[in-house]
Amino acid sequence: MTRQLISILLENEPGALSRVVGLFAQRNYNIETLSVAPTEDPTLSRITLTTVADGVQLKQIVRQVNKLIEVYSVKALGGANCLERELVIISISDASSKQLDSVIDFAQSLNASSLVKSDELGILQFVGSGEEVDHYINCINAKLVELSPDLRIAELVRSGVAAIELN
Amino acid sequence: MAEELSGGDLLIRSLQEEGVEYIFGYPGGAALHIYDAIFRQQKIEHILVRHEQAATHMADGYARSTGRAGVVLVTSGPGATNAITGIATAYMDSAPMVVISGQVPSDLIGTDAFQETDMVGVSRPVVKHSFMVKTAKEIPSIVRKAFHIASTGRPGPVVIDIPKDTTDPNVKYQFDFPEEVKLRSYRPIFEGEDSAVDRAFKALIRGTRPVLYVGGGAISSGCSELLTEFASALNIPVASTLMGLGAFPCSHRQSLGMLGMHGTYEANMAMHEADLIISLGARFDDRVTNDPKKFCPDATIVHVDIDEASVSKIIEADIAVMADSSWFMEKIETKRQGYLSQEQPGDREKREELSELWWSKIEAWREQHGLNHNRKPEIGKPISPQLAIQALYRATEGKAFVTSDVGQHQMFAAQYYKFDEPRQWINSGGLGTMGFGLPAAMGVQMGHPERTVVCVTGEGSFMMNMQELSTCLQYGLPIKIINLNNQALGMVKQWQDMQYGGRHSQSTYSDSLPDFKTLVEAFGHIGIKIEGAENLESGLKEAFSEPLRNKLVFVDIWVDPDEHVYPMAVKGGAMNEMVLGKAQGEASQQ
Repeated sequence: MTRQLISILLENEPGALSRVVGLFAQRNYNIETLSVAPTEDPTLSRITLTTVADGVQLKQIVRQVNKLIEVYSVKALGGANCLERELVIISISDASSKQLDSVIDFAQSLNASSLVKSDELGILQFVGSGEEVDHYINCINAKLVELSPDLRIAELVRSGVAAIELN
Repeated sequence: MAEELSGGDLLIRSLQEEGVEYIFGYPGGAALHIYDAIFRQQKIEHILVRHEQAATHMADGYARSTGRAGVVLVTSGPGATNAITGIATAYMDSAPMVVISGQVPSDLIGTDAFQETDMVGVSRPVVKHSFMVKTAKEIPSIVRKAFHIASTGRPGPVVIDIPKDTTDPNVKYQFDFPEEVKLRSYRPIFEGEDSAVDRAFKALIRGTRPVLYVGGGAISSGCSELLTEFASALNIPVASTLMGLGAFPCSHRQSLGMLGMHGTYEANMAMHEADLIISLGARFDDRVTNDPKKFCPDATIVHVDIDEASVSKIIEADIAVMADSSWFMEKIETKRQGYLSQEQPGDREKREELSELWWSKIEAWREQHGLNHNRKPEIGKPISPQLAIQALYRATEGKAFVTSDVGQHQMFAAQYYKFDEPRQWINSGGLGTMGFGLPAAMGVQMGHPERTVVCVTGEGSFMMNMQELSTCLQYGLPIKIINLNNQALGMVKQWQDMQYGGRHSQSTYSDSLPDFKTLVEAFGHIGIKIEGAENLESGLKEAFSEPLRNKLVFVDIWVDPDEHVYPMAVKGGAMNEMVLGKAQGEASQQ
């Protein structure tokens, strides 16, 4: 069972997304992350989602999704054939100004950017592959614990993965 | 200048353009503009049912027996939700159907209005596709798309949800029925890869123990003739799924009958021992494969299916052919003809010898159990349900359309009525919907007014939709209902006998059954009660006699309440593991 990335091009119509999501629930597949937005052709939307499945299940998922009338095309992406990006926004509160500075410096050394910095609140943004985002979050957690055992990420928001095929 | 029509008229005109003969439906508030449009025309006949579930089964029976999409019209809310069971039934058995549901006016959607249900949402898991009408203008193109989607590829039900305001009689639009369907994201496959057919044929020639495993897809693709020619020429045994019965003539020497949980001994043994299986429009359902890990251990699997998601879903195919069964049969039959015309006499002899060897094994299995129900009727004894079906077969000369409900009677009908024609046998195989039989038979009779239509049922199933007896009177449907009355939910009781120590939890009601003869007479029909084996033939003869030809006849046959359906697959076993009779079943209990 491994993480699989599936890219779906579908009609940009009301209800189309719910058919895809519904199919996953109905057939007992899970969705780990999901992102959806219109494409360069505004009549088509792109869903990028990640799931956990073995090879046989993945093939079945792709075929079931492909059966949906509004799905234009569907592809399993993976490894070297695609470029994936996810965005994460993290807020940190209850930290002293000095602690915040320290976290922000550290985050910037990891190529994150600081979106907000006030006395009570710091908001950081990081972009990378899903795996890099996982790693980044672990690093920030470790840094916070290092600064003070009571410091925590206040809120964490991930965008879900978007991916583009490399040819 | 095209004519201007209201949304309701646009809908009905579009249905006329699609060649619709019948709408099976039930009116209600949100559908009343549409019903008024129906009143204004004569081309399409509306059949007023007594319950919306029955409307869907009628449309289903019509569709399966004619091959043309059945049409249902219901109102919003409870009308729509009542239709769900029938939509799910059609979905599981891939029957083409278009279900039109009235919806509350657009400006009330989402307000929990009276009789509001999110029909598109509720039906989503059990439809091939669904549409929500936004404006009346798009009704013709939506109807066109709905019929196209329902009837092509792997067929299935399509829902069109129509808010009441879009059928407003005072708002009119030009009627413009599209000739072509444009759906860039829906491209059903038909033709497969020639190379796959090539490999399949080579595997067949190499194989020494082949079986054709034929499902409902073979019937909807219309490849029966080709299949029969091909199988006959190469002397290949043919096993059918519950849904595939009739695709290959059941009375043919090479027919092994039904396979699976209650399949024949020879069909299941042959499947298990085969070295090559060509599956044609079947989906390796759990009622067929039993434990997939133990499925056909020696066989190369060729899987032909129009639905690529069915291929290798349960059993990994060695040779996958994503194509319509008729396309495949045409290709492989051509190869077969070419091969045989060039075959060396020595090769032919060897091939025929191997075939004989395989057949001698199969014949031995046939003799060991088969379905040769050799019991003779015994005076004073309860009627055996198997004998009742055999008697029905004789009384109808094997030529009736037969629908069934779900349970023991369904299995007996599948085992003992020899269906020689595709579409002759209509039952709820996938969803297993009790209450299907009578309304399905009504739809079949609508589609085939001149033919004998029989519904084989049990008293449990029958009571789930018996209100339609009233509809039958209204439209003069001369259906013959064969009720195998065992005064219990027989299949449930059988499982309780075999797996629950004979504890009949909630499966009997013998002290509260209605007198069916009186009941059907109250509905204006003919009732015949048959008790005692000696009265079986004469009772059935009367039911199918000329004076009753145009009457609905309900034949209440009191059968042995303790009878079980055999063979029965051993739970979690391989296909060759079957319980063949009661003694063995009871022994395995201990």
